[in-house]
Amino acid sequence: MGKIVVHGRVKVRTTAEQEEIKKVERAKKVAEYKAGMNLVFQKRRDKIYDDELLLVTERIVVKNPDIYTLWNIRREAFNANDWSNEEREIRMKKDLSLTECCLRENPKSYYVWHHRCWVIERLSEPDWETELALCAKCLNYDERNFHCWEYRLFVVQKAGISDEEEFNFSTTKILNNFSNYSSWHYRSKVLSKMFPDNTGALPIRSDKHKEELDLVMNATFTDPNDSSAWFYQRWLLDSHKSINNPIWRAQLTSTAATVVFHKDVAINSLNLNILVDGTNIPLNWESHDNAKFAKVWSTPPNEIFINLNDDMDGETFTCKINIESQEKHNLNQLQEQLESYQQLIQMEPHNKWALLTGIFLMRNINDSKYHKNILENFTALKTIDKLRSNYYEDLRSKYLIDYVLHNTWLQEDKTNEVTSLDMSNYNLTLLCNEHYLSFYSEVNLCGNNLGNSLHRLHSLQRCKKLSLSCNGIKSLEQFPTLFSLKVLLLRYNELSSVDEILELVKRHRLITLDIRENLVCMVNGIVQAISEVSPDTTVLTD
Amino acid sequence: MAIFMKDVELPNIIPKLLLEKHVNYLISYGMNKDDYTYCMTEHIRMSGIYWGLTALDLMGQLECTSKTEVLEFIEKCQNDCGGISGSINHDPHLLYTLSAVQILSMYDALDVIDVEKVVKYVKDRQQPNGSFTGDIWGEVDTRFSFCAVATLSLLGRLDAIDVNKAVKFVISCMNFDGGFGSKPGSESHAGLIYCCLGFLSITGHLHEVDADRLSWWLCERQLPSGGLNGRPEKLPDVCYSWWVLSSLAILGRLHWIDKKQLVDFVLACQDVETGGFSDRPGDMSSIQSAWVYTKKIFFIDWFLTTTAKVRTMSIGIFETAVTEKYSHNLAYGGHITVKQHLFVT
Repeated sequence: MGKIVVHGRVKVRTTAEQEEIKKVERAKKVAEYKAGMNLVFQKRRDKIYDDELLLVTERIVVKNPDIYTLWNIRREAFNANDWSNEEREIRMKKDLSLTECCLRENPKSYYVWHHRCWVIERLSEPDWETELALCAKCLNYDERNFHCWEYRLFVVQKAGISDEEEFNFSTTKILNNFSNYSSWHYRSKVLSKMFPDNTGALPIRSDKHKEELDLVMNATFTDPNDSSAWFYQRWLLDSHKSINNPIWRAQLTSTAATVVFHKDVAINSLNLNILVDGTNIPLNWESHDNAKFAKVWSTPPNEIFINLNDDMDGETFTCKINIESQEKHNLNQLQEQLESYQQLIQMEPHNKWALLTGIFLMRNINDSKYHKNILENFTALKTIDKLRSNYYEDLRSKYLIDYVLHNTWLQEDKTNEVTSLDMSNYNLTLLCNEHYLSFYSEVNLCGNNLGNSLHRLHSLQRCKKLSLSCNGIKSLEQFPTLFSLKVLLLRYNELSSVDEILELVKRHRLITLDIRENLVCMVNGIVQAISEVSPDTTVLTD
Repeated sequence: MAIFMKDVELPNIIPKLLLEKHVNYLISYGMNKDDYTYCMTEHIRMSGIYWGLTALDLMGQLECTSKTEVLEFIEKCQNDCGGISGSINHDPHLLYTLSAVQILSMYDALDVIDVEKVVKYVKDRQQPNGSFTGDIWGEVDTRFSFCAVATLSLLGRLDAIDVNKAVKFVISCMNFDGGFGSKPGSESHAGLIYCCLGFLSITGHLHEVDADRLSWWLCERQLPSGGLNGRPEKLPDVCYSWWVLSSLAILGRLHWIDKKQLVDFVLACQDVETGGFSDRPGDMSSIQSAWVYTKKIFFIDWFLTTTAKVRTMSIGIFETAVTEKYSHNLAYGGHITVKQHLFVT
């Protein structure tokens, strides 16, 4: 009856007679418990930390180790009593045994593990070997007990056990049983510590990375339906782009400045200066929603006036910083692995893990070459793993956006022009990395499913023409205010609220608004209502 | 190797939502002060009250309990050092300090305790490396980091601690799967992920999280039964419906799990005789599960219902607070956790 929290207790039907016996037993236990607790609390108030107090607390914690106050009182007893060193040591060791006894009843009690830490740290000569043996025993019984893993880590640190030994320990654990997520987790920690990748491109040093990829492939083939190794593999295969310069692009016009970063930054933590003809211009930076950390930082509109040189075209000055993609993967190895997993998929066509890994491998080998195959894998995943179909849709969208942006940037490098972006007809369910859309004056997002991503359009502050036709948009409530927007195409959506459209028109100075093929067009007088709010807007309705 | 899936099977007939029985279960809990389970959980009473009251509040039945009794209890549980204990005669701890402050915020009755002393107690728990101990006895855990900032943010006193150091410590607990454990080096666990995400949301540092990687791990917690587990290769449990779901909500990716299947799983965990919920179909019910359940059901409803409709359901301040932040949540991963505990604002 040690465990009071009822998680995991199976409800069994009992007869009236059994019920009655149980009731009497329980009433007796309650009475004992209450008497014990009252005695303990009284003695504590009287500051009598004697053997009786220790005995009573011991009796109760063995049955209910989560009564944290009782452990506190036992520790108080160690502090209060003037025991000789020898006696203190003996009593401490007795408490070690007590915790072991409690752990046998409930190996997942935070308070018991903590008390063991407290005691062992105060022993004059702690026997770390015994502690490691205890951990081994406990992990044999339940190799996922994270309390025990944590205690083991504590022992390892205190005993000064080397990383090499721990690396070997994790290898033994994993070879003994591939299906042990806790071991893979531990391995990731030891490896990251022992072999960090100084370039930042890989999670661990490339030679070790190669070894781990082989080990984990072996594991996934041994038990393809156990998720543990697949998570570890994804860690190895996920992109770890190293970006030395946090700035992606900056743009300066005579009245505004915008800087886009790859990551969220707090602008005041950076030493960011804009120099025009060698002179530093003091600027007030703002982020969307006044977020402390943001990727896009701009000056408030029309707050600054800068005389830009003629050679900057009087219009804009854009600074582009290209990222050198540091490919550190061993491509031959990835290619071989891809072939192996394709065989696994042939043998087990419903193995979602292998399909997903196939996508990661293909993206790492050559995103463009495998573009079609990647999309095919996504289609298969959505059918096989229906519970997570929205996840696969969103991940597919993310990869497609990466793909389109990458190709657009390659084109920009050739033409040196940054004006329009075409992401139409991809069935995107999510708009992400929207900060990279900050400088386009024309953005075509028609033929997607971005009704839930409208709030993410806030980075399109330079956009003059935006197409969101055919996106299944039901509401414009989340549509941000876009300072430069002149033409907005919303054809073939499911808009039904006049108020939302009026509200949107009020916030913008639109020249053209296309709302054809929307329910809202059925409302009488909609064109007039819009022209009353904004006389200069041409509205296209059915 | 045989394919062995760690999951449960749902019964053929899934009961409907038995709201009335759950209300009765919660109200009758604690009526008999000599009840065995009630006595044996004395040390976590403060949290038990919070769970029970929140669940009742969600069902619009908060008035069914004695506010005065609860406030008197909390007042008696504040120690001279400022911390609040799980029960009378027990020791103060951050876990129960948060529960008490949550209850008082719900009742708009913070004047029952000495707030300045609470702030000092929390502040004193912060260690040089930014971490927090649960009490004076030195146990460090990211749960306590969450309790500390949640308590202080409810009291409007986040400035009392070194937030940057606290953030650094929590980030040092991040793992290869994007999740978090209880200490640096500890394995990811849905409950601790919730604590760390809540912590990062309250302190405005959610951008430190690899949201896609972590949300994948979180949505992989859903098993064919529809239930959610707390770590890979473990059995599903109703309590993780809350930890996983609220984590996904904070990250703005609630739609990555299947709502209908999860609702079926939770409905199947109802105790149709006594009311209340068990951790999985067929097990015994507990007050924590009842709390988790009601929060969860309404949480899902909130997600798929329009703001106005949820408001008319008048299911408590929690919901209103969340719905008010609906857009915010979807946009940025949101501040649900903050709002959830800031009932009064």
